[in-house]
Order: sequence, then structure tokens, then C-alpha cells
Amino acid sequence: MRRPLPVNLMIGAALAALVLLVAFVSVFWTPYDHAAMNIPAKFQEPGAAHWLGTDQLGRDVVSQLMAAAANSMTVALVAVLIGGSIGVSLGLLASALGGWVEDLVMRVADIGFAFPALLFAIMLAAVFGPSLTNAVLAIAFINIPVFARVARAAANQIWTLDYVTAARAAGIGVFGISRDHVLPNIAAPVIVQATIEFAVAILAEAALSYLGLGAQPPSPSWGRMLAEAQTLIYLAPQLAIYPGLCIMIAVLGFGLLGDGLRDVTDPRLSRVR
Amino acid sequence: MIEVEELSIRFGAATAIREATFTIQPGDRIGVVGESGCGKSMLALSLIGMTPEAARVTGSIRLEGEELAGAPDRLWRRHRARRVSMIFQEPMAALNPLKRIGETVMEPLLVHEGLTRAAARARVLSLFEEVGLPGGRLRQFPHEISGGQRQRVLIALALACNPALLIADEPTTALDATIALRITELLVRLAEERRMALLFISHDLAAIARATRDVMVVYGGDIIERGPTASVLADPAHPYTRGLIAARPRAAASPRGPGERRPRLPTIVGAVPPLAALPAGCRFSGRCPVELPVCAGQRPEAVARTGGGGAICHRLGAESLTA
Amino acid sequence: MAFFIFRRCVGFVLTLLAVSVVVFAVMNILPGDPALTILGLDASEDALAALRAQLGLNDPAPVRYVSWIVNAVQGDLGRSHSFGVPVFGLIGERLGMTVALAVSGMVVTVALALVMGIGAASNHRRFGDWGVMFLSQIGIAMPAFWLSILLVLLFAVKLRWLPPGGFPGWDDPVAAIRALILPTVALALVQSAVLARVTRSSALEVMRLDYVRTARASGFSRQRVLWRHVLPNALAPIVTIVGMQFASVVTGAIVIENVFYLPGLGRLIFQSIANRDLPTVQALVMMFAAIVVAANFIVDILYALIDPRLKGRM
Repeated sequence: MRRPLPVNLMIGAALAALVLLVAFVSVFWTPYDHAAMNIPAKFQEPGAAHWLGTDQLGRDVVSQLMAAAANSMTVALVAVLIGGSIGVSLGLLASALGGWVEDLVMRVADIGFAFPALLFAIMLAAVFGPSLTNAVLAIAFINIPVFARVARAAANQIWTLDYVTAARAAGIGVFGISRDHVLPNIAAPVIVQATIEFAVAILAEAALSYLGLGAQPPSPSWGRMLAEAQTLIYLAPQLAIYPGLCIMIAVLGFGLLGDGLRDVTDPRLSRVR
Repeated sequence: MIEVEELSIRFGAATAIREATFTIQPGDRIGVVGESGCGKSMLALSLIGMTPEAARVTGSIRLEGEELAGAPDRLWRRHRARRVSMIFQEPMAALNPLKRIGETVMEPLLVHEGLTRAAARARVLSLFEEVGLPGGRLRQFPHEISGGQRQRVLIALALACNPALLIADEPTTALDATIALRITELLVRLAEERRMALLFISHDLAAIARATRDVMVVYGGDIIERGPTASVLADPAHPYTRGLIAARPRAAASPRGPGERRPRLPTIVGAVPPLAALPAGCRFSGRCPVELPVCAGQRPEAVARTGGGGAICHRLGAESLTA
Repeated sequence: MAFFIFRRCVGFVLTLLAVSVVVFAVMNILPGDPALTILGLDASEDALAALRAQLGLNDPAPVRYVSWIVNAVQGDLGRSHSFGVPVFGLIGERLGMTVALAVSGMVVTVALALVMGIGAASNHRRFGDWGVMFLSQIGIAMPAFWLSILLVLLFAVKLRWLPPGGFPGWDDPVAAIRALILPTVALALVQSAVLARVTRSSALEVMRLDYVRTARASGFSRQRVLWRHVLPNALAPIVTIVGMQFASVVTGAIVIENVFYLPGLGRLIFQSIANRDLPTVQALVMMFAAIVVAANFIVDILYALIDPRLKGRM
């Protein structure tokens, strides 16, 4: 009997798809140029011309939010891809070789957990100056130990299975087995983790940009928009609402999607709900 | 003391107990026997108001005149430990692992009787003595004592506030045979000394025979036979009770000569059907070796049995059972 | 038990050393000239050389690392360029602010999470449960700094009940506490969303166990069963998450201090970044990382103390 898809998966997929669609559209079209200033038209109320009004420089808020979505998705994607591929490789390596290599990789991963993304971004910003690249690197870095753990735990299970033993008996080396047999079979937990980390990365990018360690002007970012709006909170409080809502929708969407995917691929973990 | 009338417990379409009627008087020792899944644990839980939330309890449960069937938890709570106590099957898991056993037994005394810690401690010591636990065990944790000792702790806990009725749900099932025997004897002794009623639930006929004076045999949610324990076990009237007694393993039942094969243990044909799929008439129809055409559709009436008590079976009214 | 604690202590020190190597490596060995970073591109060669000598940059990296650690253990964290005073004193002045924020944030987080989590578990599959789960889902997705701005918008801008930011100092305790209310709530609401979920699922696991049934059969009230019997047994995973969350509360405090302009270590880090004050940044990053590692270490020890069953095995 097919079980119906979990509610969190449906809602998450819908929200995530919406955010991705907006980000994609913004590459080709936004109502206005997101960076075009129009001082006489500053602080306009939401209306037909500007759906969510304009900011202190007369820039269209909707266009900025859309462009920021594209930025946010790109940052999250690149960070999770870099962190994920390094982390999964390390996890596979640890699982394949075992022994002291495995111990070493896992100990190093433990040390990685001592650095929240913010601390790492602070170090990079102090040495190289703040930039979006440094923010991406910092988020990617903290993803490495996460993926290394997930990949190793999943790969260790695969290594005990009969077809892997058969492949070993056939004389295939550990790296070949890791690539051809283990990697495809740990895809499910890795993808689940990647979805969840995607949400974490969106949140981290927003925080870093808010603090001035991420996207620099004029590059649009939800976090930076909030930082600017905060200084104008008595003048135009509505500007402090929209970017936060966008962050929340995006994080909620990918977070729910990740939870839902996990429920579907690994029912054991969702027993108590 | 407890009067139960036409008590039914339903889960949606499934009936765990169907219109059970019985009373428990002070000093009674009543056994409830039946296979697992027959509804006997549900019956026990209903007498302390702890049936699962999904269960619908109808009929009447009067505890010293107070009507409690279907009453909310907060009404039942006033009677638990003080009027009715219960001990459970699995002594291994039934004690809070983080509390010293002395503290566990002390808690109801502090909460319900408002004793000082010193007074409660003294009561716990005498309770421990009563159930045969060394007083030095007070400060031990559950994981540090044996299964039989844990069951003794649970009995001491259940007796702490001097309840009028103790419900023991399979109290010996998880224990070794010799320890089980001692726990059974302890329960009988405590019930007699305290003039406390004991409702002893078990699938083990030997334990029932030792522990109880009267017995109710439950099948498919019906009390199909009841009467004095000795009489019911020696001369069962209902075909299900007969099957149950025949299916009971006996070590030295009939001496065998050398080379003689061990006699095949008689069994009751088939398995207990799920509660939702029970026949509407006699619950035992379909498995009964002496079934009549009327059995499946029509509920049999209770008929008095020789030796006291009664049974519900169409055969009993109509013709001799042995036909 | 003693051996267990000793082994954990050794692990703690080793992790701390490894973390310090990473911090030192990122701050010192990655390409880039700290003297140039500090003085800017238009600095003269002489000034750069003088600063390099002052910072000990001419020594090989391992030598500099060892002297950094040896000095740090003795309480010498170097000298701040921008403030011209020892970093140690600089941290001392601002530590109180950050500790006050982190501790009050953690306390409110745990209190909120336990009430919400236990409440949800005891109303399993009913309205209260769904409500808590929904709110916590929102809380997890909500950036703390945005929640802060919303709180300022409501309680400072619209209602004018509380100040929007800044800190008047401890001389006026009432004003100081008023200034800390919004930052604490902002920090705690987001953190407690995660912890409430863990509390709920851990409590649900425990509520199915036999000894909870024993407690109910003993006639104890619902609240007593929940708080005296369920919660202590549900605590182990909660403590683990609290330890992990302490890290996010501390880094969260860095962010929140910047939202509310509170003069703590979080503000100091950002001022130091803006001033290119590398020794200060290095000391602060090391300190925050050490707090995270220490929190995990303490959780390990607490774990053993909570559960008497584990004591015998260690």
C-alpha cells in the first residue's frame, strides 16, 4: 500500500519551489532594475507601480527581494556543493579505509564542529576583508564535518552488505567500490542532509550579510536589506518586514522539504511524531 | 465494595470487554484467566481508570457507591493508591530508574498522606519488611536489584496507602518459576493479613489455583465461566475452559513407561480472532469442538453450574455437554 | 568514574589545542600580510617593517604559535592596535555584558523549551501539540536578528515600553534589565524552538514506558507525573542539545549585541574587524571557540551525573 506523502514534504516542496522560481525569474526579469535609484520616488507606499513600495533611495522593493533571492540561492547552492563534495569524499574515504584514517577524519570533523559559521566568517573577514566569497567559504567549511559524518555513517552500513563483499571478492579496489557501489547507495541520506543544510546556509548567509560580513553593496541580499531597514525603523517600518518574511519562507521551505524527504526515505527516524 | 455492571470497553468497532457484571468484596481473591488478547488486561485497567484514551467505557463501575465508569482521570486519581492499587507484568521496567527504591515507595506517602519524611521512612521500612525486602535496600537503584525484588518493591509501593483492592496484572509472568511461586504466596498472605481484596490476572492456571478463591474465565471479551476456583478447575462447564485446562502442560500428569511417547498436548483449534472480527453470538463459536448451529448468531444466557457460579453456553441449557 | 572524567579532560585539552592551531593558521599562515592589513596599502615600508617586528612576524610560524599559546595561558593575549591596551583587559571590560546576555538567554531558552515541550507531549496529537510544533517550526526558520527587529518595532517603536537598543550600564539596575529584556527574548525564542522539539520527542518516548504507568497508577497528578517522573528521564537528550545550543547562544549573542548596540564581546569583534585589529580578533575567536568546546565537555560530564545507571560502567 502506498502511503500518502507527508504534509511537511508537500508544503516544503511548494515553498522551496516558489523561492527557486522567483530566484530563477529574477535572472531574466524583475519589475525594475533592482539597483536603479530614484530619489524623488523614495519611501513610496505599496501600490500598483511598486507592489511593495520603494526604499530610502527609491529602489523598487520587489525587484530587490527577487534579485536577493537569486543571490541567496546561489550562495547556498555553492556553499552546500563545496562543503558537501569535500565532506562526502572525506566520509567515503574514512569508511573505505577504516582504522587510523577513519579515526583521524572523524576527530578533525569534531574539531570542525567547534567553529560556528559566524566565527569562521569573522576570521576570514578579519584577514581578507568582508566579502560574499568569504561568507560562502565560511558556510562551506562548516558543512564539511556535517557531510563527512553523514556519509561515513551511511557508507559504513553499505560496506557490510553482501554485494560489496562480492565486489571485493572480485578484486575491485576500495576506491572503485566506494565510487561505484557505496556512493550511489548513500545518495538518499546525503540528499536529505543537503536539503537541510541548504536551509541552514540561507539563514547563515542572511545573518552574515546582515552583520556586513557577506554581500557588499550594491549586491542585493535579504540580510543586508534588513540591516539598512533597521536604521530606518522609525521612518519606514514596513521595509523591515518583507526581507525577513522572504528569509523565513525560504528557510521554512527547504527545512520542511528536508524533514519530509527524511520521513519518506527513512521511516525509522520519524516514528515519534 | 466494587460493583461492576454491564461494563463494556470498545475501541471503535472492536469490543475488548462485553457487558461484564461482577462484584468484589473486601477479602475476596478473584482470578481472571484467559489467553493473551482476550481483554483481561483491559478489564483490570478499567477498574483503576487507566484504559487508553481511545477506549470507550460504558456501563457502570461503582467504587464504594461512587459511579466512576467513563469518569475523567482527575476523579479516578483520588482513588488510585488509596482505594485501588495495581501492579504490572514487567517489574524490570515498572520502576523509575533514576529514583532510589526507598524514595519511590515513599512518594505516595508524602503526596497522598502528607507524612513527614521521617514518618514516611518508618512506614517504608515496615512495608519493606512486610514484603520481605531487607531494609538496607532503601538506597539502592532499581538496576541494582533482582527482578523478584523489584516486584516486591512494586508491591510495597502499591500497598503504601493501604488500598482496599490490589489488582495484579500477570504479576509473575516475567519471573522465574520459583520466584513466581514466592511472589504469589506473598500476595495471598498480604491479602489475608490486610483483609484486602485481590484481583489476580493471569494466563497461568497453576498460579490462579494457588492465589485465588474464585475465578472468572474470559474469552473474546466475555466472562464465559465463573465460580469457585477449585470447582471450575476440577469440573469446567464451558468447552473453552475445558480446552484451556486440557492444554495446560503438566510435568508428571501421567507416568510413562520407557519407550512410550510423550502424549501430544491437546490444543484448542485455531487462534483467538482479532477483537473486531469476533462472532456476534457466542465468542467461542468457530473454534468450539461442540458447536451448535445457534451458537454463532445468538448470545447464550448464563446458566448456573454445579459447584457454584455459572457459565454461558448454549449446550448447557439444551443438552448434556458430552454429547 | 574518575578515569572517565580524566579521559574526557585529556580529550578537552587536545581539542582545545587543535582548535587553537586552526585559529592561528587561518589568522596567520593564509596568504596575506597582517601588517599590510593593519596599516593599509599606502603605508610606508619602514612602518610595515616596524610593525612586523613588533608583531613578531619575522619569526617562523611555529615559534609564533607556541609563544601565542604560552602567553595566552599566562593571561597575555597580546596588545590591541586600535585601542592601544592589552586585549585581556579589553575582554574583561566587556565579558560581563556577553555573559549576562548568554546566561539569561540560556535560562529563558531552557525554561520556555521545557514548558512548551512537556506541554506539547502531554497534549500529544491535540491542539496544544500542533500549536507548539507549528510555532517551533516558524521559530527555527526565523533569523534571530529579524525577530529582534520585529520586537523593537513592536515594543520600542509602536508601544514604547522598552528601549530599542543601547545599554545604560549597571549603575541603574532597572534600566539595565529593561535594556536586556528584548535581546534576551530574541535570543531565547529562536533557540527554544529547537529545544522544545527535542524535549517533546524525548518526553513522548519516556511517556510510553512502564514506570510512567506505575506513577499514574499511584494516583499522582498529571503535572507531578510529567515533571517528577517523565522529565528527569527525558533529560539526557535535552542536556545534549542544550550543550550544543550553548554554542549557538554564544554566537547568537554576538549577533544580538550588534542588533541592540550592546557593549559586549560581539560588538568588540566587529569593531576590531573594522579597525583591522588582528590580535584582538584572534583572541576573541579563540575564546568563543573555546567556550563551544567547553560546553560540549561539560555536557559529557553532566551526562554521566544524570543517570545513575551509567556510573557503574565508567
